[in-house]
Amino acid sequence: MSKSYQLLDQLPMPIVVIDSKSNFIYYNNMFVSFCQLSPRVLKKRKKFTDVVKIKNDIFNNLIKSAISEDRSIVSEELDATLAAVVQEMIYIVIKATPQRVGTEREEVLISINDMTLEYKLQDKYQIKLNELKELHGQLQQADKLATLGEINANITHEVNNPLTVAMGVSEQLLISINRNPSKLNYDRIKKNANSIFNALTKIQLIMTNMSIYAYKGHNKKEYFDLISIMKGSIDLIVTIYKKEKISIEFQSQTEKILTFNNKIEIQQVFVNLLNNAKDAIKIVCKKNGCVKISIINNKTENCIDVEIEDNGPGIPKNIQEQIFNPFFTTKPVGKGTGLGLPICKRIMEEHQGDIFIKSSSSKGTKFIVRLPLVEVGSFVLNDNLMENLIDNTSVRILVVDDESEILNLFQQIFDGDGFSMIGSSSSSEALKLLDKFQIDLIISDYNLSTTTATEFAKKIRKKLPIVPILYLTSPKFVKHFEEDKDSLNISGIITKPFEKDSIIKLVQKTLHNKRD
Amino acid sequence: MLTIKTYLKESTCMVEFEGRIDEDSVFDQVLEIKTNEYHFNFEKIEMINSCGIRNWMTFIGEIDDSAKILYQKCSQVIIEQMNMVNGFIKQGASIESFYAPYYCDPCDIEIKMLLNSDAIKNRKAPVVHCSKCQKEMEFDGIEDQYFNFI
Repeated sequence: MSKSYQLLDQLPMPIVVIDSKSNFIYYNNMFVSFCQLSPRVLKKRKKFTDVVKIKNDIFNNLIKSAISEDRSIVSEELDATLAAVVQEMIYIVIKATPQRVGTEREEVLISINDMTLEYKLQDKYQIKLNELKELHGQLQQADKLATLGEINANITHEVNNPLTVAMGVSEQLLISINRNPSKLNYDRIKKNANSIFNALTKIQLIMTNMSIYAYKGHNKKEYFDLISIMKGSIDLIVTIYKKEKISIEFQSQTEKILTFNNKIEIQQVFVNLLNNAKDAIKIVCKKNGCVKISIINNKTENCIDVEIEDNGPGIPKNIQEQIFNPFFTTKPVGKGTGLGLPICKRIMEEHQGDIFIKSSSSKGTKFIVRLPLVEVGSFVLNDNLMENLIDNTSVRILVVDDESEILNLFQQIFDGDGFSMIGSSSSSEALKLLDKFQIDLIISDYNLSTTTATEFAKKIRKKLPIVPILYLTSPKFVKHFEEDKDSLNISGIITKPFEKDSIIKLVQKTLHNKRD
Repeated sequence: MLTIKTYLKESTCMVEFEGRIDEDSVFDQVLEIKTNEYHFNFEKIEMINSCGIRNWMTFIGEIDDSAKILYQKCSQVIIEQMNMVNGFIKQGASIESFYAPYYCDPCDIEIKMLLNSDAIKNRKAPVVHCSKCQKEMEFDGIEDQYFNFI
């Protein structure tokens, strides 16, 4: 055996030398182990492909290419089987290096990288990960139901109040009608009917709120007004708070804050924190127990902060470090699972947000729930979806509207048709987005809360002279499109109400015209 | 999957392994038995991969260094891995016996012969005769490589 072959015997990977017809010239000891045949049996096999079976003609083509191009060629990951163990698939990467021996003979040195173990471990990892996700979903639901159980008794009381009113008024109404059917006081009847209607509406709201909270929904995110989510959360716990004589103060910088999130999960976070705040205040039996909630647009961090502050006893420093750990609880046995805050943490991470203690002292604790701006949230989700597509020729569309229903409608329209939609509720935030990311088309509601689409378009044109802009408006504002069509190069108009097909056609036509 | 059977023979912990030593293998039940002698029987081990070796080495690292360890009836797959990875055999441990492949050409029979480590001289396969035709059997491997662990 030549010296170079002796060297190959010392290498810890399977090495084979073959001729141009894939016949064995040499193989090292590791190759003998790799193919799980004894040397005696292996000697009887003439060709590489008699021992390592690779689909189609991939191996032969690899060898031909290495020889004709006179360079090393590495294969992609190949499915193969060994003649010794045909029922088991292996996954290998082959490097073929051609060598000329003298003037005539072509040899090819094959080194084999066996990836089978990594492949199988990855499959196992995926299965375990999916099981963990499933388990986490169940834990999350269990935590929700446990909280619902705690507040259920008080919700029953809350429902009984309007029910009593409705029943009482109905009874009075019946008595009045029966007493004097010919002389009905219609104003009084109308007033009583309204009382009944209001009472029943309140009950319906409570029931809807509860069922939404308890619903084990999917992970889908949509555009929601964060303030309405907080109000819904407060409605769920307000009765307990009244019972414990704890006041709630809620303030927000604006009347509406659109975010892109899973409403049910965010509500779960808020209810969890409000429940914990109530429990903290109860510990010290405070007479003037109070929880303050603020929603702030944090311009420094470019996010939305929801502050929930109680005037309970505070959380000791050594416990603060542990409260987000699973199964850690300071509550008595049977009272807390220790899962509430870890679940909240995970929910916020999945929303590209965060939850943390801002401050804690003997005067109380302030938690911050941090959410990304609506533009960031929708960009992260939609762009990640697009990146997973092999053929990423998706079109990125920015939709600016301060109505969550409109944004959700467009989200549905553009879902899965090769479009990636980013929603924004504010022209100023949308302009920042245009500085950072490439946008292929902009759809803007004409009457935004702080400006008009005309003013918005003027600012866009200073940065991006040719990106197509479509106005979204009701028929009575079409004149603005006519005015801006030429001066601001507005490509088209969508009038409400609209249908999916017409939107898609208009977008495709607009993009086609842009390319021309 | 790995099955582990343990029992005490006087003060020696006898351990019989069966199946596959891989990334899922757990050896806690052996560690729970605190003694100063362990005999590991690998006769029924069918497969061991690199993750299994890692788990094995973590396990034997947790056995007290002063304990006596004997590897018995090591199957061919165990021997092949022992020769590839340093550390499978704990420092101070010894291999009492193992299986080696032999072949009889006239009878076309393959067998796994149980050999004692003491019988191996100069890393050469001992002479074995076919039980059918009594002729000398051929060692069905690469001697240098197979007996490297000795």
